[in-house]
Amino acid sequence: MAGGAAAALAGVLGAGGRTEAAAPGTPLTFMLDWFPNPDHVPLYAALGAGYFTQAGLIINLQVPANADDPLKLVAARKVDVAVNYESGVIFARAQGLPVRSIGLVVAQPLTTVMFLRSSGIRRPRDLAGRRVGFAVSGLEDAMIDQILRSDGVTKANVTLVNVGFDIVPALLSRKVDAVIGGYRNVERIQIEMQGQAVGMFEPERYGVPPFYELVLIAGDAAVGSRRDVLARFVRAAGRGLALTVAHPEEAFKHYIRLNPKLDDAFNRRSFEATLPAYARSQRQLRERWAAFSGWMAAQKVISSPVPADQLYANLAP
Amino acid sequence: MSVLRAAGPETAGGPAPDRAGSAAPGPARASGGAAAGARLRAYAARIVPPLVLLAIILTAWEAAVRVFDIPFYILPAPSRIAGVLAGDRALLLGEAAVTLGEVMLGFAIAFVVGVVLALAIFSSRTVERAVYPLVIASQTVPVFAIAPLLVVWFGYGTLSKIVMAALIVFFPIVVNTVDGLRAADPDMVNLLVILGAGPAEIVRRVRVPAALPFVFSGTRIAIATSVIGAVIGEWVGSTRGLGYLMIHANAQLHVDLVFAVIVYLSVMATALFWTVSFVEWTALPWRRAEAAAQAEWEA
Repeated sequence: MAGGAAAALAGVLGAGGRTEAAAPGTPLTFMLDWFPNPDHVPLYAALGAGYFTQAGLIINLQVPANADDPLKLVAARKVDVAVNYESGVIFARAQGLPVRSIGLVVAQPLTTVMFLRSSGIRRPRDLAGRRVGFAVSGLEDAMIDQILRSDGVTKANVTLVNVGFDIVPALLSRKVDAVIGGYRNVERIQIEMQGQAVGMFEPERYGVPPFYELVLIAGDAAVGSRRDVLARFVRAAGRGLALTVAHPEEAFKHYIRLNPKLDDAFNRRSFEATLPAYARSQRQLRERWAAFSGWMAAQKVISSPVPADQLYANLAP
Repeated sequence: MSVLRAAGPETAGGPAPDRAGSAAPGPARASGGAAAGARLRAYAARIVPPLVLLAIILTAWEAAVRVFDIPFYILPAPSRIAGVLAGDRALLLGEAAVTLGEVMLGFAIAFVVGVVLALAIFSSRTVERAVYPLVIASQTVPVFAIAPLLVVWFGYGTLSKIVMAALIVFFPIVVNTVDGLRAADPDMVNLLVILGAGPAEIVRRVRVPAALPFVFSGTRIAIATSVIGAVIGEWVGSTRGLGYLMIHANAQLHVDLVFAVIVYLSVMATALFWTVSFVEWTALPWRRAEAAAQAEWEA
């Protein structure tokens, strides 16, 4: 976490250095979902290339202690914009937190069920009678159940084990036979770098509606009263995404310049694996929000579906 | 625990019945009915202040949440937490039973190992020089940092939580027991030496009774904090217990349920603390007499 804090500081300094000469802009507090990682390359690209500055925004970048904090802090108006997850927005709304998604960073699922190829697991049914580890996300039960049901078994056939944040060691030490909650662009790379071939059951291929993995969130009040500022933010982030897709090398250079500690083989490989998943457009689809919220309610993770128009706002399509 | 029972009656004056040892000195007893009233008042004096303070804190908390319109996901009002405590009663009790089991087992293991180790440290200078620094060093290990490793070593089941609770309990028990064994009155020890008692008998008749109040002090502190160990263990690898319920509720932004879990954990730690105090009160009658004499002196 110390590395993350230092990197955040570097990000703030990087942004601040550029804005000094320019006319004073609108200050905006922006919080990541987790310590900086390759999912955030387009955001650092936008920072490094000065897109936020050009949009008249002075970004104060923060790193949370916990992935749930951004939802609470945005709802409480302590943070203006934050990175979070589609499921996070739905959980928050279901509990009455006034937050919604205003933009996209990674527009497709990254989380997945992962196992070592050497385990002999080839299809979801092969998990029956085995131990499946998970990191608590609130969704793990629902996802594994859906994936297993798609192949004629249920979660009653597997032993679910909370392995905290140690998904990779749990799998490599064979304490569990599969893990749920690992990202196909992060944990998968980490395991492959240990010389193990990884197999995956991607949730969207086994009956879970496709969802936006990483979204930009803002509070309802701000979406009402500071719509223009937020739209400028989303457009600048969109330019960072476009730069990343068109010129990956340049985007990655901004990322490691602002996070010098992350200049290593893992980050490079993970970035390459993330490239196809970055959002190509800032237009969020109503059907996606409605389908995923409906699925969460059907799985009884939330008591009833949250209406899609409470979950997102297209500010800069 | 057998150590305690063996030591009790002997030091209370050998063959004399337990009650004689426990009775307050003469004058307090003589006043009869007035004494019962005084005792009732003493109990009230003990119970009322914390309840009043608690009521004031809860009222201020409730008022602050309402007046400043603090959203529940930042700080839920006591009334809202009370609603969850009532509504999710079955869930909370079930998970609390799991955590309590881990705490009790962890405590039992640490108590036995701790007392044996303390006796060894006390009996042998070599053992003391070798082991004592390591015991102290064990306390500097941040449990939260090694929790994920303990889970990998001891598995994702109950064992890793028991070990975690035991690690936290162990230190205060060892240190207090060693201090207690050294605290015996030297004149009493010398007297027994002169009377021809062996080292084992001196430990049994003088050292252990002198150590017991220290052991209880260490135990009270240890058992209240051992709850933390079990909860950390549940955070990093578990599917049961209050710690797991807490992170799961947090992930789903059930902030009021998180606070309800905290209430349970506080009540559990407080209850364990009082249980140890009660056991001490029952097992060490001469301490009661001392306390009564003290109270009278103050009055």
